[in-house]
Amino acid sequence: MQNVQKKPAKMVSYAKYGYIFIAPFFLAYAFFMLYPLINTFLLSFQGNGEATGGQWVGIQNYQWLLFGSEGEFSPGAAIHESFMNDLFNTIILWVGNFVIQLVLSLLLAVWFSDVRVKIKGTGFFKVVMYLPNIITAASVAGIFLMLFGNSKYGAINSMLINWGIFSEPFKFIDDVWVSRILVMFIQSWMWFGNTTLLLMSGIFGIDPAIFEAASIDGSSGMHTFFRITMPILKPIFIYVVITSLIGGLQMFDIPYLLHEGSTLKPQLETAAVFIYKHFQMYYPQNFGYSATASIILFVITAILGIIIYRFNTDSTAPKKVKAAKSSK
Amino acid sequence: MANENARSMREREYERKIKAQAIIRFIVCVIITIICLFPLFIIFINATRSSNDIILQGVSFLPGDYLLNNIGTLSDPEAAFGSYVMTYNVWYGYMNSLIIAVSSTVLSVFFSGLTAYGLTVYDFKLKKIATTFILAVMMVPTQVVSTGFLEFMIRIKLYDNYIPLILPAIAAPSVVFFILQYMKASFPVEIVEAARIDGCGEFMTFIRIAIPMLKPAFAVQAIFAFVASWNNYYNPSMLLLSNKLEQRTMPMMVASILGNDKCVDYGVRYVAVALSILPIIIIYLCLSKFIVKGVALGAVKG
Amino acid sequence: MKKKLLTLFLAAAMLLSVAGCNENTNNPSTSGDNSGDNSGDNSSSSGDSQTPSDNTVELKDDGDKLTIVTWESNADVTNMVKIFCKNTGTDESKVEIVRQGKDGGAGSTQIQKYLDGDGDADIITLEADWILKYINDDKLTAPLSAIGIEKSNFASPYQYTVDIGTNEAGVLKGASFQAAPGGFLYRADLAEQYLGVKNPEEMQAKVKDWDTFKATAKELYEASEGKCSLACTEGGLWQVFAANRSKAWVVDGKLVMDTAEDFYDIAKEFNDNHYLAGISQWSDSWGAAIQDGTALGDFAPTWGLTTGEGSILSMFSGKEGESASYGNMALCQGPSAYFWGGTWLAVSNKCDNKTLAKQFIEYFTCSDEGMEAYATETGDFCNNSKVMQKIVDAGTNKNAKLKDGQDQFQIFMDQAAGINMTGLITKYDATIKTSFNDSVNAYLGNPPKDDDGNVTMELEGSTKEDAIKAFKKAVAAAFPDITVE
Repeated sequence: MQNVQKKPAKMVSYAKYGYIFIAPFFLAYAFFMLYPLINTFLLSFQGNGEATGGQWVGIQNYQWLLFGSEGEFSPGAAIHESFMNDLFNTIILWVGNFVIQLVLSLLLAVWFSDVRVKIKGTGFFKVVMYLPNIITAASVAGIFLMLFGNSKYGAINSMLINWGIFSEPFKFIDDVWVSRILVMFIQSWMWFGNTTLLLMSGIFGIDPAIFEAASIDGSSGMHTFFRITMPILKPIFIYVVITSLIGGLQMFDIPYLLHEGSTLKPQLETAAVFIYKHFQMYYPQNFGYSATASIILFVITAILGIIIYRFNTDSTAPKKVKAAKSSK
Repeated sequence: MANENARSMREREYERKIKAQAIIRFIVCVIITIICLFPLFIIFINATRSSNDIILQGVSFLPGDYLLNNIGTLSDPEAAFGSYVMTYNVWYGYMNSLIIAVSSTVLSVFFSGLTAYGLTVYDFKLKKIATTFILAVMMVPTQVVSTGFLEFMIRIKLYDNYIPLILPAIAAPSVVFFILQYMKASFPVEIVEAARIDGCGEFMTFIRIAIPMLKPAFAVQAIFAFVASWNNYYNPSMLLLSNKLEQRTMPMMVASILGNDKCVDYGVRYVAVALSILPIIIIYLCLSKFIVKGVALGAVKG
Repeated sequence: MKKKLLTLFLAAAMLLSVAGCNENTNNPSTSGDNSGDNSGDNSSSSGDSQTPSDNTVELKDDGDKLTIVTWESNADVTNMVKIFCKNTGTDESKVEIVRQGKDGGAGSTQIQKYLDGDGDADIITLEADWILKYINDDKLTAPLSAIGIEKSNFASPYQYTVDIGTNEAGVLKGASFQAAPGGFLYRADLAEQYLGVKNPEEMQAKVKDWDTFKATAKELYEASEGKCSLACTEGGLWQVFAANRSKAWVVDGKLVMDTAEDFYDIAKEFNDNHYLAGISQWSDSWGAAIQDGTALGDFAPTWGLTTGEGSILSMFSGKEGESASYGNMALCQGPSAYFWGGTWLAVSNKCDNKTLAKQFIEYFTCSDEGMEAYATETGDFCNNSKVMQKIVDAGTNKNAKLKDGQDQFQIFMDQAAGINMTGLITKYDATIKTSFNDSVNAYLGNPPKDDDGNVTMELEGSTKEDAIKAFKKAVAAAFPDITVE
């Protein structure tokens, strides 16, 4: 930029190349993202399935999804309950997975970057711990489905029965909370390596001299972590939270595929599964419900993103003020 | 003397503490390693055992000798009246996933490079807005547009082919962002002017000069774009409406064999899952150092 | 500058969206035209259904291949094509099978999606759970008369198959090649070991009615020291129970639970007392549970006992020489007569191979010779009472996977005559049945138990009322046009 401003006369003649070079990106974006987004918005005001598909129904979808309709077993009430259930699952599954993942990742990141206590084979551990992240999520669902199968032919059940801990197979996949915990575990299993590496890159950015000084001053491990590591880690930490949040709201593969037989598990249905289900399993498709859920999800994501972003910039504001003052 | 003794005592105490810590941490890491590898271990072991063995013996830590039989059943047109061959074909899976992943990776990296280059090298009216726009939409989750996307693709009859799975890769905001950052740090704009003086055309400058210089950034983004595309289940299963065997990607193959009520042979099911993850594990083990470094450089969670 | 860009985008968006709206109205995938309740203001093509006169639909005959659309796990069509081509001298390259959806349930929506697209289709297969949706929609199926097949052409059919193949307007649209009574399929070796039962007649005496069935189940569970349950799945039990209901799921646009509410208690009783092994139907563990003796047997219909690979019988049998159940399965009638499913052939509106389509459907529904070949070669129970009687009388049918080559047709023969499905099925059944079984399974739960069978951990289980509510809500969400109370 600065370079450009120095020699404006020379650059101007090449301006058209700028447009040409960025044109493919914007054309593709408009066609594959922006218009679909607008289309989703329009579809959210249209009906569903055989009955009202393709017709304009106003805000009925929003009304039904968010507030339901009268009568305990009316379609509006049923779809409301199903959507709220899926939204609740999304939050539960994300929070559960994120807490496990974050605690483990912070611990490992601090350990791996500790200059005093060197762990042998750190390189090997990092490679192994990132491995689950690279494996296809659909296959991961398959792996855990076969390990934790409901029947006694599932690997874990068969082990527990052989060791005499259970006399009968436990339905890991069918049980409401056990299956949710399983999904949280799988998500953490897949993502903790990635989070560890991200956090480590933040910690490595910290000058080792600070740690040395802290250790000479007799600062305990805990103290060092909360007073020195965490504050400096904040930007990367926020980045991890935002990306995980967006990823979490889209959580699909594992909850969608983790079931035996042909029906989805209601306790694992996430908002993304709700969206997918209504245009994939019904025909004519329930585009209205899918689109409305998408828009609601989009708004939630945007609000959460802004909150976290504000939270971040607000806390750094005092520093800027200080810097401004000192420059005076 | 006594003082020195006390200090060395303290030092030794400290060292012992550090050593104990190191051992504890090492053990914890070993346990985590086991948790990471155990599921994969079971999958590969069971892939070598017969269904009957798995039903009657349960878990085993030793491989069996049934691997080839299981693979045979998987590709036997007579087994379960051909359910396996109608549901799961490892070569189609590899080929289709490879075609989609390679083309979308190439498109994504090339056009992101082009966009970042255009935004860095040239000065034009909308430059700032364009840059801001790319940053702003970087975090927009793709699934919230999926309904409108699908309905649009059905309307213009672009379902049941790979175009809507490949072409959107041209617009990858996070890749653009990454290359933009990289160029800021290590791409001197003067080099473009030098090329112009040498009579090199604008586009050729990008191809001949910028691409070689941006190779490291391209490599990192390419590997993550490839993995993300290879692993994607949502988009292909959404857009390939007919779900034809010849069109299924690897994740779709896995999903369909898991859901098939006729493909009930345990050994074969394990082999099917094992085969689906084998290539990606091999690629990872070859490039692991590079990938682990790349994560920290700015891979965005998908 | 920002404003300019914004207006640009907005303009583009408006343009695209306007284009979108226009095309939207005639988008085949979103326009819901159900001819079952069309009121005459529709386009002329769907008005045809109002008049049951023949030959209103003209089908072409210039297609290059006979395309049969079915679902992935349908073995019957595979067998039929083989037999048809072999016996009529038709080249196998003239017939193509297109598979949509992984199983019968998924096929219901997937085949409709396929028919709305550009794909070719001559004959489509329809399952009992959703046949009514297809034959009452003139955009999907053509009358059989369009290819020249009338009711009178069928060779000694079971009347219920003809009734179901006829739509609301009285037009014949579906022809079934099979009748689907069911029986109880069990491990003969284990029955002898635990119950001292030596043949199917003795076994039938042990399960002749529900009280005896329960008593035997108790005896079996005790004799096997808790290893073996009499039946395997809740899904199988439901099929027997469902066949004896007197009302369909939906009557006059209203959801009717009727006796289905009782089934929650029955299933609970069976499950808690280990009369059922607690395995889910059509899961990978279903066959395994029979093979390793966790369950003595389960309910299976005619089409589940075909001799080829992939049938229920072959799942239960496992591999020859490896599984103990291979060649040790036997069949008896079970506690109450029932029927289960069945598949109909229908002609697609897109049919462009009239002659070959007619030949194919005729061969399996109108020709004694073709139907006999089908029954003897596949072990399926063809929809021809005369031919079936002939085969049973001849005593030549030996099922290789049953113990001593038992003739399963003999067991099914009496039950086939008594089937009455008319008025008991609806076009919603596929989805409703799944939701119902889900809610039953949720109600059954499965708390973990220790070695003595005591519950070690209380889980958040649903009550019967919760389960029924969940079921009703699932139906209400799936079908806005059904009134749920």
